[in-house]
Amino acid sequence: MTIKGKAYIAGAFEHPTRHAPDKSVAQLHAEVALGALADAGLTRDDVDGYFCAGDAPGPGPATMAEYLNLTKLRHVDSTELGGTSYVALAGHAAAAIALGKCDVALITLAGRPRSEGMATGTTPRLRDPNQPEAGFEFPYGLTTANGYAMCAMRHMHQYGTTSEQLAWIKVAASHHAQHNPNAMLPDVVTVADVVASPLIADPLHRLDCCVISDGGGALVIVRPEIAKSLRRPGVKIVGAGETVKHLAGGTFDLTTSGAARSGAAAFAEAGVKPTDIKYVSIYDSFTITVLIQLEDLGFCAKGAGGKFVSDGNLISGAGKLPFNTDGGGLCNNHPANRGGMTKVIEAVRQLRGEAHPAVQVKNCDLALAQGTGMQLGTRHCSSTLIMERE
Amino acid sequence: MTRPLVRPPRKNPILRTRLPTLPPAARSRVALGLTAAAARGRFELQVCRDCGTVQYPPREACRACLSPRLDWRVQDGNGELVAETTLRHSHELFFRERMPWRLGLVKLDSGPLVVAHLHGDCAAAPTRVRVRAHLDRAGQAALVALPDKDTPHMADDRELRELTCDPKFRKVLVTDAKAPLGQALVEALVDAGVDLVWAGEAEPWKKPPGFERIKALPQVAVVPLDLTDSRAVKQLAGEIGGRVDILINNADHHRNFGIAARDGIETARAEMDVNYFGLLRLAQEFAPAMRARGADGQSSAVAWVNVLSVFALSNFPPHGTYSASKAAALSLAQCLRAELAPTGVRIVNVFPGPIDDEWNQTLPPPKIAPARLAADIVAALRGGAEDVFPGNVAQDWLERWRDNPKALERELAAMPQP
Repeated sequence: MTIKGKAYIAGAFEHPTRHAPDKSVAQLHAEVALGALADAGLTRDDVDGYFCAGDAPGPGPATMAEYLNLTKLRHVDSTELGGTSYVALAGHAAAAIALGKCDVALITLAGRPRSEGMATGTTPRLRDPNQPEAGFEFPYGLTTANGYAMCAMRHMHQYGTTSEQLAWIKVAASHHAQHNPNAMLPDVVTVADVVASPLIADPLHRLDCCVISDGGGALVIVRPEIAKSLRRPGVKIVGAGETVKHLAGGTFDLTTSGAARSGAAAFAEAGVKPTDIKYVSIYDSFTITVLIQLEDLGFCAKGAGGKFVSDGNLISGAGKLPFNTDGGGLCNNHPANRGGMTKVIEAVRQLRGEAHPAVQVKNCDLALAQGTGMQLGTRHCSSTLIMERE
Repeated sequence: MTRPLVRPPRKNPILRTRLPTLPPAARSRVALGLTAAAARGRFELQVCRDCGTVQYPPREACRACLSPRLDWRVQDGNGELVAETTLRHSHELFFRERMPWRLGLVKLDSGPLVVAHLHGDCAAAPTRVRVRAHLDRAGQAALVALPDKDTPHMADDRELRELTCDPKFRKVLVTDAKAPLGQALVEALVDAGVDLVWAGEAEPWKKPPGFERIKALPQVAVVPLDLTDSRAVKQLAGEIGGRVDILINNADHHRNFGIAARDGIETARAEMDVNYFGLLRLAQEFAPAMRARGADGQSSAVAWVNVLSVFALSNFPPHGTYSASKAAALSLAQCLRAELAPTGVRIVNVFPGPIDDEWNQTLPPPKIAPARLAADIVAALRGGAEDVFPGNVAQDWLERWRDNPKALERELAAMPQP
């Protein structure tokens, strides 16, 4: 049993807003839902599967299903994997469609951390005392940024990675963002700019961190027959993988992410290898997040990531592996502090040939979206999605 | 290398005193096992009785075999710092006011990988470190990684000082400083580098040996303080209450009677008046000012020490009414701890066994010497504990009490009456 070729991404929509103090989170969900359905050429009445994660107001899928007034639902899924949830939910939607549980799946994400004044990257996490690890991380002041920072520190120690090499990831993202009219940070930056920006959590600088933005995004995933009836370029889901990586009682390896496992599963299901991939969307909460995931997916050897990302190798048109051509979370958008959705959306744009002409990858027929959620340094979820142009 | 602390400048009376903030305090019930051990100055983790796996964070079932048979065991805390980072931006007020703040991940030799505060003298990762459990300002256990070997002035480290109540450059009030333990405390505090000790004197006409020498020390100021006199306590609090950083209540009224050995309640009332009501009077007058000064700079109000007795845990019938007064004081100290919790001021309860003084003359050794007890109290202030059981007798009682309080009660009842 496989999901390969069983479902198509028919609609994708990224909310253009980056600051929405006048909108509610539910309203943003509704706006992106309508946007993605319009993109697909479908209506709310066609939706019989609804997928959301922790950003959706209310318990599980119920509140948003009511707000969106989805009346024909026969399959729901609110799996929470942190920021990468939507990469995984796209795979879940494909699986549900493959099993005949639904025909038209809607996935929504929205949030307004910027309007709500919530600088999540430096806000300590884990407030629920019932969570077993709750009392053992945040009392130390450990923020999201610090957790990722320690991975970077360890990577530098083990493999000699430098701040300048990490900076190249931000530089590449900024080269892409200059062409995105909605990007929060459209200015091109240099390696020197990144390493000269203030330290947030040693060794990560401010420009190693993603933006905090309001907004959202949605995907519509459908059965092949429905996809063929719609007048949109076909984007077929061919492989998906997900996993959880945690401290494992102390056997944790700070420089390897769950992408090693979720990526291998997705490649195996799709029957392709890293060298076949034309474009990658890689979750970029911090520069180090990108570097570790690229290694774990097999785009370069473990430890060689610093060299791999240097000298513009991730810049579309200039380098070998164009990534995050919308500017990614580092420059464009990180709605609800969750970057998984926009990763899939930009991959869809690339496969459809609808990316900005300055960053469009030539003959882009195979793309990969990869995300990690929660805290890279202690415990995180990882999911990988491989998509093919029909 | 830690820079030695310099004497803080005099406080500017124009500036507002900052209100105390606390590190995050929420813990699950099982996680409080770490706090229970840290309260006694120990670093304990759960060890699986079935497969021997060391657990972290604390949990209800073994991570290796899911057995529920987990026992708290003392850890040596040795391990390797595998990665470190520095907090330079935070929305948690406690840390925001104290940045930059160093923290790291330590791989303990016993297995687990733990998050810990990082002493400034720890070398860059990877390096060997010693992990200790301290109570933090919120009263919860926090792990701190210290350098492998002691370094000069390491107690002066900014992060470590946030986890301790080091008397250095602080102002301390000792009640009944004339008693043998009081004198030993004043001397130990002066040696520990205090700024000033107010030596409370209840009975000015008494001239005990040694007190003239203590009085002559330049850091010592004798103040009148009779804990049975509410007005005297109020008056002294009005004069010095706003400056006391550490209060050590050493006042003690001790007689050797059970119930049948003495007619009437006068002796018991006198014990209660000093040991219980004395603490209550002190707390009512001195705690409010300390409460406001939990974050008053480098030498903020940090600790309140009660010298109780191990008899407070279980009645020692030959000293029956005395035990009862100490049990009452222990109960009140718990109330004081709860009321001072939001301010970060730590209540340190000290539970000595019999002290080698006149009122324990007829008890056979071992008895704890006042100088040794004073040294243990100062060490507790420099450490991270809140319940101190100094000396072999206290440790032995504690172990028996933790193992089976009913058995201890029977053992004490069976002891011969003197």
